Amino acid sequence: MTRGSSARDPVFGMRRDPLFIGLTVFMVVLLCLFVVYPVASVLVASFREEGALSLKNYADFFRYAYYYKSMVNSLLLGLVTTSIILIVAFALSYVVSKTNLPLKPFLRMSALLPLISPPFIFSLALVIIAGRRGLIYHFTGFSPSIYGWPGLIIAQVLSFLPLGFLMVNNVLQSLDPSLEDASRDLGASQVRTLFRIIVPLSLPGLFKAGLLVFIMSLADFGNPMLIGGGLPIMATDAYNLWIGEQNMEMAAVFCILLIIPSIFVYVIQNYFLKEGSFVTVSGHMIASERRKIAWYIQYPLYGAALVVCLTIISCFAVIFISSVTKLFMINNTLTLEHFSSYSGWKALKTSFTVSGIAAVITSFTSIIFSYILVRKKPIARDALEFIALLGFAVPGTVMGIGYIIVFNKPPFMITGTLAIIILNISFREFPVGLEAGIGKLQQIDISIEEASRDLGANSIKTFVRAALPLMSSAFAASFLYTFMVGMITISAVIFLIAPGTNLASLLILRLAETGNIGKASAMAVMLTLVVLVSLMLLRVLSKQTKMEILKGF
Amino acid sequence: MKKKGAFILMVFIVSFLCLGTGIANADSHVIKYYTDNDESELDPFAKAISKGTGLKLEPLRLSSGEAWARVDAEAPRVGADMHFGWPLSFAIMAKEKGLLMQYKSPAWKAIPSQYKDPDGYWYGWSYWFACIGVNTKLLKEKGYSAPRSWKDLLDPKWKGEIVMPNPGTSGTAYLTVSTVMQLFGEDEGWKYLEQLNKNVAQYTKSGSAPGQLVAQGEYMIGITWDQAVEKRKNEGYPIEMVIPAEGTGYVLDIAVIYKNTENPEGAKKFIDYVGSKGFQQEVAQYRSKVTYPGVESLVRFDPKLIDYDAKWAADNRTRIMSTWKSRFAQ
Repeated sequence: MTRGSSARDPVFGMRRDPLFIGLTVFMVVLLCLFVVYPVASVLVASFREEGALSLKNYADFFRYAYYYKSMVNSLLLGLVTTSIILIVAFALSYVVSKTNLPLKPFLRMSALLPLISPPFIFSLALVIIAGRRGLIYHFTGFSPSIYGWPGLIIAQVLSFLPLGFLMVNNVLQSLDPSLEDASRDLGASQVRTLFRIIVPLSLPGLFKAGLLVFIMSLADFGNPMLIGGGLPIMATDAYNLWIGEQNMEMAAVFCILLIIPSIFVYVIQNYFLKEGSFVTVSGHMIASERRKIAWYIQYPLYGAALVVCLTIISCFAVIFISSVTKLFMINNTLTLEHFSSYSGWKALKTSFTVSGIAAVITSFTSIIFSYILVRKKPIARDALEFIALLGFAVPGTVMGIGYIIVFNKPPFMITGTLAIIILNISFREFPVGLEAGIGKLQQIDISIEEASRDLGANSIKTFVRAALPLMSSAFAASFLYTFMVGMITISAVIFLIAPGTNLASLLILRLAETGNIGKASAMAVMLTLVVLVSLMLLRVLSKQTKMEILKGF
Repeated sequence: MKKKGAFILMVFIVSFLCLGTGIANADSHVIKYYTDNDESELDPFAKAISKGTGLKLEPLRLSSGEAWARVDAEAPRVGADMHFGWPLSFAIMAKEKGLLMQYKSPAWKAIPSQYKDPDGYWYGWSYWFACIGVNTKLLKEKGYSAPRSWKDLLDPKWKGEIVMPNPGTSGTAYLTVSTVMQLFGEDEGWKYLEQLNKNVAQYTKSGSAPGQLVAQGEYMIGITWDQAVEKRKNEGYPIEMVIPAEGTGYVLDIAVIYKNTENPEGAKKFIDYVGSKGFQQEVAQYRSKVTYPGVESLVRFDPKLIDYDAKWAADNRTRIMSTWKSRFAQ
């Protein structure tokens, strides 16, 4: 089935419009150069053995325990993290959308907080709280061992909770409440209703959320680096193989094996779960009055949600306190000295510039390209969409290594510039805007654009005046997402920074790694504040301005 | 209207091309350099050099092994003009690969010849040594006395209490490993490392990290370098330095110019300034030993240094590291 709202219309098709043909060709060339070529280069490198192509690297991978163990660990970590997140996210969403318990806004806010801070901030905080001589030891004398599995799982759960929460919450809210009512009216107990109606109905949605969280966990780079305690994990091992041992071929093998599950998940996502219509009956929902929920259902869920949210808040609090004390727990004198770092401010400026430019480029191009894909229906539309999605699906480590292979030699010698970082972020986040744009366009009735055409506007004018304003929310989503990710990303850009182009997120990682906890915390606080303030400014701007495109913020 | 469309297309393409080629244009006042300077010394060193030479500096901190991987991958187009702060063994490897620019600096006359390359490829401005850091508070709680030698670290009671950097990424760790080899001989050295490995709780990426982890009390014992301990001790952490009784290896920290620099004149100025007495006095605020005769550091040690062979360390790095990987990779 085609996804556009009308079939190819001879009048409206406009496939021959030279501008759109030009843009399409241009975008395809860019996608090939900045997505396909780097990934293909990694693939080729993984088969290279002393100049010839062979499978020896793969054979080595599965022969030696220190290689394949990292794959076992990564998959296991992904499974555990995903399961816990789904449970917590379900509890949170249930409490937020179905109960009348106090502190709901607080739960919601704190569950979303991790979105705007570097993903490894929890590793940093956990070491301060539960390290061998951390806060817990300080007060109880019990010294937990946080490095390795326990720390890694907790840190990942907290880092990726917002994604899980947003998706699961969406599922729960779209459930038709009348089904629940029916179950109750037919005499089923509340527990029975929960497990026979609510849970089964949300399963497809939960599954979809789970897949995404799994991929995030697999691609995670900062947490294994900081709190893994040397546990072999694929994304970081690929980096260590390259950087610590100059074993590029084996690093490439790691990359390819990392890509496989990601591609698999995206294929499932996009071709099997796309419609997701079996979640609930379509049509308008009948508002049902809120039923009283039994204590033995709501309080355990409430308790779980509360514990997790309090943990998130205390992690942030600990980071803040350690940023304003000389040496938290050893010398608690208040100080602002951690904030006065020349390289820190410079890195923050670079991060801001890079993310800002990437956000502008990505949001415009992804919206235009989604318009072309949906309304102009170029040849091989699905293949094009898949190529674009690749940038997002492939773990950052892979894109980083691919960029180094491709862009450190003529004719595309751009390593060491800000441009390579901007391009990397843009093409990795491009699919988010693209998908948002496609989704939006499918909802917009094509008759508006047809009217515009009939009234004599050409295709550009139609796009700018009729379609673009309606797509402002997709534009805003793409802009915000790219900007936020640009500010906090590390896995790909760690390969691409150069003297003068260091980024704030990487500086924090470096500071944390060398044990400068105070400075690392201070930088993390500044980074979070910059993102927050930027978001607020954008909101204000969108209210003040007359530009249609900014309405979505 | 067609023209307008073509115009938009042009703007689009041109802006991408600008992005790809422009932005980082060479500026004759900029020097980009890689460094393994600790975060606390990086800013003051850069500020002093910038003030002394009028250059605008763009440093990037990389652990020394990490820096080598990067330089090796980037060769022959190294992404920096210079390297400032790198163990001599890496400079020797870079010199042998033909990546360095020759420059005989007139400003380095006062500095003894063992600290600089006779051919003018590298200049040593400071040296530091591998040592053991111990957390005094934790030792007292357990009633243990501090280890005194490399061999003392093999005592099973330290199991899970020793933190050491990874020799793949850290220059400090490779210094330690090659010191052990040079002290005990290669066969005995591997046996030693094998036994030490049983006590090591964690291998960190950077050589400074064990100093911090021990200072915070995460572990009792860390293998690290002198200032990583000394600095934290001065900050008030319960940490003490142990210089192993067998003696320890030291590293000459060097400055080199990469052949592909776009700013050779600026780089020469940089080298000249690093050899000046003024800068060496500044360095002495942060390092235990500088190479300028008569400039004394604030902290004075008299470590028992072995006659560390940096050339041997450079020539055998690949071999030692692959053995390391096969034995100790988890």
